[in-house]
Amino acid sequence: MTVRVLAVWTRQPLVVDALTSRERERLAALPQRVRRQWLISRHALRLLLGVLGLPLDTTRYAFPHRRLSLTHIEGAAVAAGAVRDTRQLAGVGVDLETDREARVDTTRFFLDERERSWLASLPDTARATEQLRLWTVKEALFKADPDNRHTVLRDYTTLDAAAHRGRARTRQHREAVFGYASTRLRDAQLSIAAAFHGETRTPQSIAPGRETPVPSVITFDEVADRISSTLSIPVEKLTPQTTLRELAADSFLLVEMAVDLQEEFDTIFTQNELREITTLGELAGLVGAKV
Amino acid sequence: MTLSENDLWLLSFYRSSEINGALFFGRVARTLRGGPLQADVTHHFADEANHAKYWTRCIEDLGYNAEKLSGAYQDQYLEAVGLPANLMEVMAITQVFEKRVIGQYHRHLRAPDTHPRVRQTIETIMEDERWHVKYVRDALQEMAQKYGQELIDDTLARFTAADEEVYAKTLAEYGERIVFLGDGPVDLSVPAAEV
Ligand SMILES: [Fe+2]
Ligand SMILES: [Fe+2]
Repeated sequence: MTVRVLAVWTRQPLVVDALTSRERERLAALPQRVRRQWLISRHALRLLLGVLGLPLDTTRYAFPHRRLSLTHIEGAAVAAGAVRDTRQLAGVGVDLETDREARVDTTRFFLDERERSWLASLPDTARATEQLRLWTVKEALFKADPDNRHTVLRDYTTLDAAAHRGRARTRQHREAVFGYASTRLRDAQLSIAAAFHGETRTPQSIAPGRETPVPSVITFDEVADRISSTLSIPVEKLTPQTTLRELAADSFLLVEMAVDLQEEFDTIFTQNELREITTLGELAGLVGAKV
Repeated sequence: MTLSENDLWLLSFYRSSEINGALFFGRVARTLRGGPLQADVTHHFADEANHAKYWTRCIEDLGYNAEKLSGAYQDQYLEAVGLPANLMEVMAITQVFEKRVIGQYHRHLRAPDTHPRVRQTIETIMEDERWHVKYVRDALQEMAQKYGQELIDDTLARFTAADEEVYAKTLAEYGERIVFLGDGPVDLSVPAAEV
């Protein structure tokens, strides 16, 4: 089974005049500094919708979406979508990451033994690129998986880590129900994945627990849960728009909150990053949550 | 025995600094999960609370009540040096601050007129302070794996610079009260309790 997925890349923000009234409302609700990025993402999505012949108002699509996926890096976005909608298609995921040096060895969080030993066998010159590629593959697989609520990136395993186009499965399922493809896009790595309904794949059989709390893709709700318990504030009161100023009675509460999130989601914030942040949505974005 | 207004202020300032320290490390301890650092920071939290107790008793023994100070040094300290963004920065700021505290107490011990009761209190506290600096240094060393040595060194340098600036401002603000604590001309008579 194959599915053709189209990816659209852009660096241009959508012009505000082209927005629908609902899109304008969304834009108005966003903090100034994320607006440009949002418009770039919407532009990529709009272009893709046009090519696929789907309705153009981007607010009609909620993510995760069975047929569409979005990703962005600083100043650029990619929208990916299945060219044809087939019943076997369960989800599509796309991920784009700019080339970077791995500062610390994080591979144990997203690669299994076999994948790591393959990576270790590579010459130094190739390792960083391949590590990043596998990261984007895992992110794309995760995003494509409609049952990803209880999985972490390491639960997805490629049948052949060296393959730039191949199949993958989750640890909970023998059957390879995922397909993926990776490619270079300028100075970045792009991966696209599709999930299919397999014979043995039922939502109930997905493992309910996980051994290590290292979700590499995190939902806003998970972040809100942590904050709610750190600050003793009912979780219903926490939205991506809630400002930190409203929450933190004193500045050290922000430190507590930040340290707690970093411990929970195994990540590192810098002072500069924290300084830029005003809302919970942005804070959640720092731990990698898709808001 | 009589404490001058400045002496009483200074001992009360120490007490309130120790309380703020305890509150700070209590909160850090609360955010940690597992690992050796959890036990160490909790211990540290308890130590600072004890130091506040020692000062309260010391002041009492000298026949006074500690002054209630508002807006003490540490209240503005964090904001002034910049809020720590992660656990490594929390430990880095701790190291810088602990060194500052030890420096202050050392200077006070060197003052010849220091009352024996005050001297005894500082000496008791210093035993803990030495351990504080040591465990924090070890923790930072351990963190080099995760954060990288360079980042840790940069962070320490940044907080040290900020600490010096804040301290210089504090000296200017509190004037002669703590002039003997500064690096400039030392007035050894200020902190002494008079018998
Ligand atoms: Fe202390
Ligand atoms: Fe201390």
